[in-house]
Order: sequence, then structure tokens, then C-alpha cells
Amino acid sequence: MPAISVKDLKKSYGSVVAVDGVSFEVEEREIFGILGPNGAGKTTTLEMIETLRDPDSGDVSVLGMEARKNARAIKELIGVQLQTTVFFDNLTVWETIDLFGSFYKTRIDTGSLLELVSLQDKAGAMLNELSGGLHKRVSIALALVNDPRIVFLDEPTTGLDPQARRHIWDIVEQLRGREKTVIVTTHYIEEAEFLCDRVAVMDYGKIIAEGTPNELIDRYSSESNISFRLTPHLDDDTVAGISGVKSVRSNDGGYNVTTETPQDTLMAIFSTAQANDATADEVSMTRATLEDVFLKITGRSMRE
Amino acid sequence: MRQFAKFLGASLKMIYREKVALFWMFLFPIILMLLLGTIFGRTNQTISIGVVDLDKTIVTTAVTGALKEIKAFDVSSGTLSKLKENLQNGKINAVLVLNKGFLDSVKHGKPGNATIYVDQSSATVSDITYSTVSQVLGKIVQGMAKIPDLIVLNKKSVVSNDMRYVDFIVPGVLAMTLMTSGLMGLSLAFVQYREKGILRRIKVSPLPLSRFIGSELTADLIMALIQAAILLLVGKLVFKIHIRGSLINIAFLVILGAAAFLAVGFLISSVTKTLKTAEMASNAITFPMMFLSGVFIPLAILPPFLVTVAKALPLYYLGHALREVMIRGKMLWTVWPDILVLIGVGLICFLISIKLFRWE
Repeated sequence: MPAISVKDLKKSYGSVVAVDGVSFEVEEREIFGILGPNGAGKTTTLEMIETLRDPDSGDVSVLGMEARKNARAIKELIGVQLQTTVFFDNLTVWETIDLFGSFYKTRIDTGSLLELVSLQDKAGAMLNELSGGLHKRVSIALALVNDPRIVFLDEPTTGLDPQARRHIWDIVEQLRGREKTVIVTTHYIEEAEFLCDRVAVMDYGKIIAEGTPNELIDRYSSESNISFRLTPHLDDDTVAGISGVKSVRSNDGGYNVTTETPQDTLMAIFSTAQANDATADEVSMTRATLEDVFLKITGRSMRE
Repeated sequence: MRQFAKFLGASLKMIYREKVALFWMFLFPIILMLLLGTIFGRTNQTISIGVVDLDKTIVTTAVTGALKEIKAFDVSSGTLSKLKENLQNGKINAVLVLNKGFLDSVKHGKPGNATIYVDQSSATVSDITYSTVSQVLGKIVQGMAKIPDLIVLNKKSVVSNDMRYVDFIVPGVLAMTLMTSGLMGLSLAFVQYREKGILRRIKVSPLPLSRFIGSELTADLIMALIQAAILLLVGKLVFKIHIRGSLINIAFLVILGAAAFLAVGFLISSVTKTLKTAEMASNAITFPMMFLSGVFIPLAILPPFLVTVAKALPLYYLGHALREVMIRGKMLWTVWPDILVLIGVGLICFLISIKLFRWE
């Protein structure tokens, strides 16, 4: 039985279609990502699974329970981190976690939870004194307060600096160790690639691609980029003739080629250089990313 | 129950830590009360009595001397007509006449005869004067003759009027405080919780809405009782108001009034979207009520059409009920129309707000 099963989910606000026929399944102990630009319908999808919002049509089942009929039971078993992370101003971190913990039948000890999110030093700090990154960590702690089976993280690192983001990733990695099912939305490519076992790419309320990050890259953008420098300079036609090279861009002695067979092409670059009495240096290779996948499918960049 | 206690504790803690709110809830009403009381209400720190000794015997002289030694009394003597005039002019609070034959009566084991004239225009003062003087006289004469009940004190009123202004203002300020706390407290808290997404966060937990609202309301009612206790204490210490109603009856009215206005506040929070509009709505309701409900100004001195306006506002009924029960010592059933109005207002507002309640 999948942890989450969503079938043909639809939700409109007036004439705006936020979620337009979304279906997917999340297995237990899987870290599942929904990747997409702002306004793609990620949050609305999540909220319907969390029983915060009723869908216009479609089925949502969480841990085998029909979402709409079992909202209370589901809420006991899931942990939710909402995008807005403002809590009661006049409570300390400890008091906030303690208070929210009292809402559930099962709960983790507040001290060990603070340790999990590395907030033990901030236990006595007031919520309104915390930085954005620490705020997010409190809201993740709140999502874990009932030792949930499924954890929902809605854009957990949006607006954070790289270090704070890295910290959140560490926490999510720890959740993997605790065998939690995690469903996370993000508009950061690196985040989805780094954290997720499987990713659904969402755009305009629809899922446009789904699979492991590697599968998606192989399927939609199998090309790698190799950049290098040749001395003396060789003309573009010679470089284009290197086996496996699909396209060439060059400027000022530097080249950038794309290929589907990076390893063979790399070898061929060196042998071609040798054959033409040239030396190749500053060689680097980058694989395609989910960004390229998104670009390939939608024709737009995610950051637009 | 555990949840409820936790939430209640957290709510109280948050109120306690919100210093600005504390100012408006506690300090402001006290300042207002002190201000209005000192400006408009004369307070008598000591009770001044004039003594007319018609018997002029050892016993009556001793009684007069003993009275003079009591610090709370400012004793003067003179002729009956002169002292009565002073009483009417408000210069003294009472005139005690030790009648002829006082000593003879005591000698024969009968109670000594005395008369006290009090100023009924300040009802509480006259009551205090009467009861203290009769108590003190009893003690003095008992001590001298070792026989109980030696004096029969006849009470006579000179002028009769209404209660003192401070007696009027203390329940008035209390009523106003319950209203502003109710309207500001819950409505602004809920709108803020909604704006900040706290309500949504609570909604994804299994905590039922009823328990959330219930504990918020309870915290506010506890605060209302504390406010009332402090205001009454200040009233008693500074203005020496005489609280005749039973504390349980007063507490009942405080809770009823606070609940009714909390319901109005809850309604505001359900129909407004932002903190700003909620604030404006609360002000739009509290300000007219403050000045038109007769909590600061006795209705008797208002023009008739304003009296009609006052009686259309729920605060009037809370102020009236509190005054009747607290100051005049009336029983709760005598103010049943006030109680009915408050229950009605509270219930209607509460039901509508539950119906209109939004999480976001």
C-alpha cells in the first residue's frame, strides 16, 4: 500500500485552475519531491493531501484512508510544515513545541526533538527573536512533534541562505534515517536532485514529468556539457568532427560541446588534440540537470 | 483536559508577556478611575463628627474624649443648630447628640440615649459613620460599665440624595474595562492568528476548534476576573467605596459581561479580514459605548434622547447591573433584565461568529 495515493485531483479558485488533474503515488519511506515554479499548484496539492483543503474532484488516500472522511485520524499521523512559519510571538521555542505537542496523542520528547533540529541552544528564545533559518527549523520541529509517519515540507528552504539551506537538508537526511515518508515541494533544482528519491515536475497545475532525478535527466536531457581549451586553436569544424560531439560553441580558444556519450567524447577530444599537435587543458564536464529537463519540456526556464 | 490546561497556560503566559496589552488591561483602567475619581469625586479620608453633649456628665465627657482619641474621627463640638448647619453644608459627616439623662440611664442599667444625624447624600459615608460610631460608643460604654448594650442610637437622616460619584465610577470603569478587553482581546488575537497563519497551523493538527476557542475564552475570562479584583481593590483602598454586594454575585456579573463582550469581539474577528479593519471595527464599537452608555456620566444628567441611546447599548446594562449589585447590594434577580440582555447579546454574537468562522 502506498503511503499517499492521489488520483485525478482538481481544484479551482474561481476561474483560476490551481490543480488540474494530478495523479501520483508516494511509497512508504520514500522522499518524494514536487518540483515546479511558483504558482504551479504545488502547495494546493499538498494542502489537499493534508486535509486542509477539499478538492473539487479526485481522490486522495493517505495511509490507506480516504482523506476527506478521516481528516482527524490522518492529522494524528502526519506532520506538516507550512510555508508561513510565524507562530505565537510571546512563546519560547520550547513552549511552542510543547504546546503543539499537546495537540497529539503520540509525541516526541521536546528535548530530543530540539536536538534533532539543532535548536537545543535556542530552547528559551522567543519566536520573534529568531532568524528565518531558525524559524524554519522550528516549523520543521513542529512537523515532527507527533512522530508522524508522513512529513510534509512545503518549500522548506525558500528564502534561506546556502548555509541555512544545507542545514535543513541535513535534517531531511536524518528523516530518511528514521524511515519517515517525506513529501517536499521546492522550486530549487539542486534541492530536488539532492534530497529526493523521486520527483514530480509540476507546471500550470499539471504533472509534466515524474521519476527519479536520473531517470528524468536521461529521458529528457541525456546530453552532457564538456568545456575545454586547445592550444593552438583548432577550427570549429575539426572540433565538430570529434566522435560523439553534437554541437559546438567556441570563443577565444575555449570550446563548449554537448554529447550523449561523455566518456567516449572525452577520450576523442584528447586523441584529436594529439593528432593535431595541440594540447587540451581546462577540461570540465557537467551533466544535465533537472533545470535542463524543465527547459526541454516547457521551453521555459524555472526561474522565469 | 491536558490540552486545555496547556493551552490555557500558554494563553495566560502570552498575555502576561505582552506588556502593551497589560497596560491597557490593568494600568489604563486604574489611571482612568483615579483620574475621574479625584477630579469629580470628593473623598473623605477621615470622618468628621460634631458632638453635642446635652447631658454634660462624667460619662458623656468621657465618651466625647474617647471619640476624640480615635484617629479616624475628626471630632468637633458646638450647639446642635450650628453643627446641623455644618452637616448640611457638607463640612462634617455626622452629628452625634448625647441626650439629657444619658448618665441616669446608664446608672439604672438602661441603655444611654443618643441621636446621630448623618448626611444621606453620601450614602456610603453615612453608613460607615453610623456603624462605626455606634460600635465605638458601645465599646466605650461597655468598657466603663461592663454592661452590654448601654446605648440606643437613633439614626436620623438630614438630607437624602444619590450615591457618591466614586461609587458610580468604579463599577462604570469596571464595565468599560470588561468591554474593551473583550472587544480588543479576542478579536485582535484571532485576526492576528489568522493573518499570520497560526490558525492554519492549528488546523493541520487534530486539535478541535472548540477546544482552541474554549481555552482562549477561558484565559480571557480569568484575566477579566483579575482585572475586576484589582479595580475593586483600588476602589476600596483609594476611594473607600463600600462594596455591599456579595463577591460571588459580582464575579458572576463580571464573567457574564466579559463573555458577552468577548462574543462581540469574536464576531468582529469573524467578519473582518485584516488586523487594521478589526482594530477600526473594535474602536467604532467601543468609543461610542464608552461615552454614551452612562458608565462615566449618570443617565440622570443626560438629555432624554441620549438616555434612549444609552439603553440601546449593551454596556449600559452591564454598568447598571454591576452598580446595583456591587454598590447598592441588590440581589442578582433584581437585575434580571440586564442579565437577560447580556446573555442575549453574547449568545447571538457567538452563534453568528461560529457560523462565519474562517481559518484563513
